[in-house]
Amino acid sequence: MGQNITKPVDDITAQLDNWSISIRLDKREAAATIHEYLKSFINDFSTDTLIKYTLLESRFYLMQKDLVNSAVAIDNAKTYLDHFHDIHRHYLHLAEGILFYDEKRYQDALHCFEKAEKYLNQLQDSVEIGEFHLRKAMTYYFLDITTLSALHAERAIEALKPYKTFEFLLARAEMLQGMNYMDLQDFELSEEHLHKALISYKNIDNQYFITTTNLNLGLLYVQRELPEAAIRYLEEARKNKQERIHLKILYLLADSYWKTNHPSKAMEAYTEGFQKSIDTDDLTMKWEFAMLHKKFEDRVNYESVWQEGIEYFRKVNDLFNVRLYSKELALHYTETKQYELATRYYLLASI
Amino acid sequence: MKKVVFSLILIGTIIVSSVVGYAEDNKTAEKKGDLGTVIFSLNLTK
Repeated sequence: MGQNITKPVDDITAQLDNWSISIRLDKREAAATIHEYLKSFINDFSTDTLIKYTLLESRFYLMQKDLVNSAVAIDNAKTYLDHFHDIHRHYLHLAEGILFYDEKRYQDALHCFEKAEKYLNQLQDSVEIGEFHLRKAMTYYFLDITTLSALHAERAIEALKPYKTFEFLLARAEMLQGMNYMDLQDFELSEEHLHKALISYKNIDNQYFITTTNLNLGLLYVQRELPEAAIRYLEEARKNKQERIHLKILYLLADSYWKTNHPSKAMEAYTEGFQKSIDTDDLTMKWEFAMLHKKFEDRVNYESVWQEGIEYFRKVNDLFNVRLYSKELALHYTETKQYELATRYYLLASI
Repeated sequence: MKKVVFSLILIGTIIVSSVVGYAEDNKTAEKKGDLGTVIFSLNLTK
């Protein structure tokens, strides 16, 4: 009888460990099988096991991109808050942060990651620590707090470098660091990190991130005012028709083709992108395409459309685009000696 | 003279506060590059 009681407990602990490993290695089928198995014992779990189970369940649903059930699992975990150890608190805030990040609520995500960081010293696993710094660095990147993003990306690289099995995570940290150096205008270091990432993604044959890195290299060469080089990487990225970033690729391609005096190719990329932004109801990209077109093809309406576009970005709190387009418009007003308008847009560029 | 200085400081404070307040409400900073999702999966293909 003693055996009957102890065996399932040992088994459940082992299955929880297997589940955790399956989730981290993205073994979706194995993770789903273990989930079903564990669910059948849920009424027999101790409080500690239940907390571990619900926190892991939130990661399990995240892996499947099921954000609703992931949030439900977090809420379930919170009902045991009084019994939480520090390490549970770390995983809870981490999971909350990931959810906010996924919804592009970067400020909220950062608050959660800061709470989780308080308990980071409880973790023993270097890779998990590296993953944490990578997530926080990604959040700082989108909040445009570049120096802190670079600092956390460096800590992620240091933590992940010794582990060949986790080359994928190291590549993501290298890619992020390349983007940070791009924002810091250190283009040589940016190029170095982005190429390191590209080599790693090719090593592990990850087509998805090869495309992402090609987009980012394209962006680097756009910023370095080398549109011919940008086109090479962007055309490579365009081939995979990766839904999530396809509009960004088309935008940069249209820009680069206009700059290299290939208006018909530019119009082709612009038309595809503008139409797609309308079809998918992506208002931000719709404005960006419209503004790009006015800049190169319809100068009569350039000022008015850019003013309206910047107003739209202010309305939706897209401060990155407010700064980006205001700076360019301010330069235009300075060149055309419209100093009052230039001042207005320089101020907006500095928010 | 004192009134003018005070008014300038007040206006400056209001401008700075509104700018800082606006920046703190930042939710959607869409950059031109891409980092992929924050959900790390080692075999992520889409």
